Amino acid sequence: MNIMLELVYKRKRSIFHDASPFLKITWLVSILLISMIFEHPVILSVLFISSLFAALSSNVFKDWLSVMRLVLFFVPFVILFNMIVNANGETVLWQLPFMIPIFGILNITLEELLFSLTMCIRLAAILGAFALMNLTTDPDELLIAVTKLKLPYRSVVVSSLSTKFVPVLFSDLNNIRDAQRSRGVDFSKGGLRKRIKKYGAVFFPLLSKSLDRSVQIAEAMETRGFGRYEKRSFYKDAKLSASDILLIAVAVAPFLIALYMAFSGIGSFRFYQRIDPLIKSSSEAFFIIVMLASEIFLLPLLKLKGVMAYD
Amino acid sequence: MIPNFYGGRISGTVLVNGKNASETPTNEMSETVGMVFQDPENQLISNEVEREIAFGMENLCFSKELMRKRIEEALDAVNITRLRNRTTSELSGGQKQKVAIASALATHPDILLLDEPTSELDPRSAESVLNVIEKINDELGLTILLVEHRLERVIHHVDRMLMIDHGRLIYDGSPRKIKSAHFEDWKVGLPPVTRLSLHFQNRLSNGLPLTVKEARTALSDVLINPKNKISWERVKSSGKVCLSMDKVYFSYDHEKDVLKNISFDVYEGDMIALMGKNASGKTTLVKLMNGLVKPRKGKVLLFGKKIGDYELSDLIKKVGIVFQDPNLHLFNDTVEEEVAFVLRNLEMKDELIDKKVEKILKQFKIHQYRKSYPHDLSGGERQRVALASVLVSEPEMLILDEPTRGMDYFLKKELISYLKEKAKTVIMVTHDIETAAEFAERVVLVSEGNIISDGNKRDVLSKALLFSPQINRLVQPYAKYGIPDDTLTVGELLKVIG
Repeated sequence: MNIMLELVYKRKRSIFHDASPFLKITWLVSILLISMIFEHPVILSVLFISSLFAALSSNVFKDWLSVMRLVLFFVPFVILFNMIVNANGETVLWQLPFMIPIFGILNITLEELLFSLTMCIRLAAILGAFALMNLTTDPDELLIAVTKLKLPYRSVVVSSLSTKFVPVLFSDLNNIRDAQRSRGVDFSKGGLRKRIKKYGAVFFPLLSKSLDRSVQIAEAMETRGFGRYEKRSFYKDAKLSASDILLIAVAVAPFLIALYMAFSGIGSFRFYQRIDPLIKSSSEAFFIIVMLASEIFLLPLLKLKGVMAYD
Repeated sequence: MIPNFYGGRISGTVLVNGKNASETPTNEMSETVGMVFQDPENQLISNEVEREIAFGMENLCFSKELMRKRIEEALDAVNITRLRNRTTSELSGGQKQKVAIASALATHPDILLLDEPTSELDPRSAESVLNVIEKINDELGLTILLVEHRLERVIHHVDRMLMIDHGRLIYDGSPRKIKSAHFEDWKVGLPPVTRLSLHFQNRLSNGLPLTVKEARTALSDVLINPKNKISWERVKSSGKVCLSMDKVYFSYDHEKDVLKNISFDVYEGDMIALMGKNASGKTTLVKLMNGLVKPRKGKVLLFGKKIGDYELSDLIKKVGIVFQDPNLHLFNDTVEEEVAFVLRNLEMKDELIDKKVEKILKQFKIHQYRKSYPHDLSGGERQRVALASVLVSEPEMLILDEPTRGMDYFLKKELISYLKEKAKTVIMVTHDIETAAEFAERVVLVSEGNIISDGNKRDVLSKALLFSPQINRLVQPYAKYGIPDDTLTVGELLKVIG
């Protein structure tokens, strides 16, 4: 429950907090795209490591870490899922002692296991980048940036509002739980069916309360002219400075490297039937190192920009 | 303002500055009409105060220079310039409401509508928000329309009062010209001094007084000649302790104590009003009393037994708590089910449940709604359902967290008489000084996590600057003529002056 609270933006100062929202969007999109192009465990690890370093240097590490704990929670599910739907791989580690109808005999193979773990690293890389973005970017600034990018502003307002109301939702939840406990709903007792019913006593009031809230917010926005014109003006603008453009170029670099690699067939990775070696060629190693270096290189540049506050 | 939002049928026309309000989209009306809503939580959209104020102007495509100028103006008009760079979620309720007003002002509407803008605020913040509204009206000449049922807070600020009852306009005029005959039917609370003055209408020359000061002049010849000599009896607490707290500390985050060194006993039969500003620790204090939160240090004993040692089912037979927002309680399909819910949790027999539910529904006058969906009822009815759904288990001790918020004068009166009749031991958390004076025998004041005053209501509420009821402030200068200086309510004062 606290995880959600920690995912909310808090005003602080750090190299990532101070960075232009355009830069952060570029950085995020570049990590997302690379993680979709490759299944290579080392490349995915590189992506994860770069958001780890970014989080370390951005004064939000503790919050970021508690979000990343979610990934650990997913690991067994990913493995289980792969075990059921996937029957590839030749190095059998363990075999289920009985047959399951439809699925047949279930094997856990080394290849399956490594594939599952790689998918978890992918998940961690994506989630880590999103978490860092969320933790360090003011939703209002994001709104401005997205509008400037000619994306529809209404949808951004909705998503930025939803992050803003997460803490309110949780305080509602706590109040409702207290109220129902005072009416004798003991959440710590009873079997699964009973407990589900008990949580209904929390869920339905929460739902109706949130619906009330959303209608009221919609009213408030409407009465303040939201959606009056196709365009909006902006009180605080997101302007791109020359240094921002340079930084954006640095943030795009890993993606360009990835594209080059993909087109020249470097960095593909096969798990089945027999798993590839981690590093197949020296050119692969070279490109991966360059990718990591350019991701990490962004951080001192951001720091430098912070030091030279004028530009 | 929002005919297009909810549907429904309208006949007749609503013209606002010549625009037909029912045919104009709401977001277009926003150029003429600004609006501030009841709940400060649900109307702030941005994270930062300046941006919040800019939001409406951005929608209307104002230029940046104009926005900068208007933000300056709006911050200044509402007197919150020092909050300009703050994050909105950190602000107090009163501050949020002022930001909402500033945001509405910034687009320069001709009319400002306010829907119970102070109902979520404590008296101090409410007063300062209302002063801001009056100043705007005064200095900017803006037309202001304020919806409110707690007249005592606003009546002295207004020039014209419109009263609506059952969908009909029943009064339109200066609040000073109310005739007593109507007012009983209005179901709104006039300020106590005004209610008092209605009994002496033949002696008033300048219309009804609306403030304590006006009442002192208007009624001075009545007040210097009290007919009866009365001294008010002070009801003592019984000797039987229900709940005792010994040197209790509490903190939510293990850093800052919300409650500090609280030692406090509740005796059987006590009628306690627990008062204090918003965020003073009142609600936390009552949560300790039914074990919802546990103290960091110190002991809480309930009928001689540690509160942590109770089974939940035993605990709720001892302490019932009704929270301020009835929506937090209600989730069943019918009122009947809602009220029976706690009894089912106690695993009572069905026949017994039916009997008890039947009885309490009649007592609370909600029997006719027993098959209705709770959320379809009005606010006051819902509040009664919530109350009934706790009281039905007949707890030894009843805790009410601001039960009178959103209740009109008559519902309050009903609630108080019900509590005096039926409940054994009651602790009521409230901002409402007049309700406290009517209801309680003992008043406890909490400030910043400490109990700063605890005693008979006549000692605590008399001559206290912030927490005195109007009548008490009215009679102070007349104590030398024989009116007891611990008189608190209209009823009491009428007994003295005849």
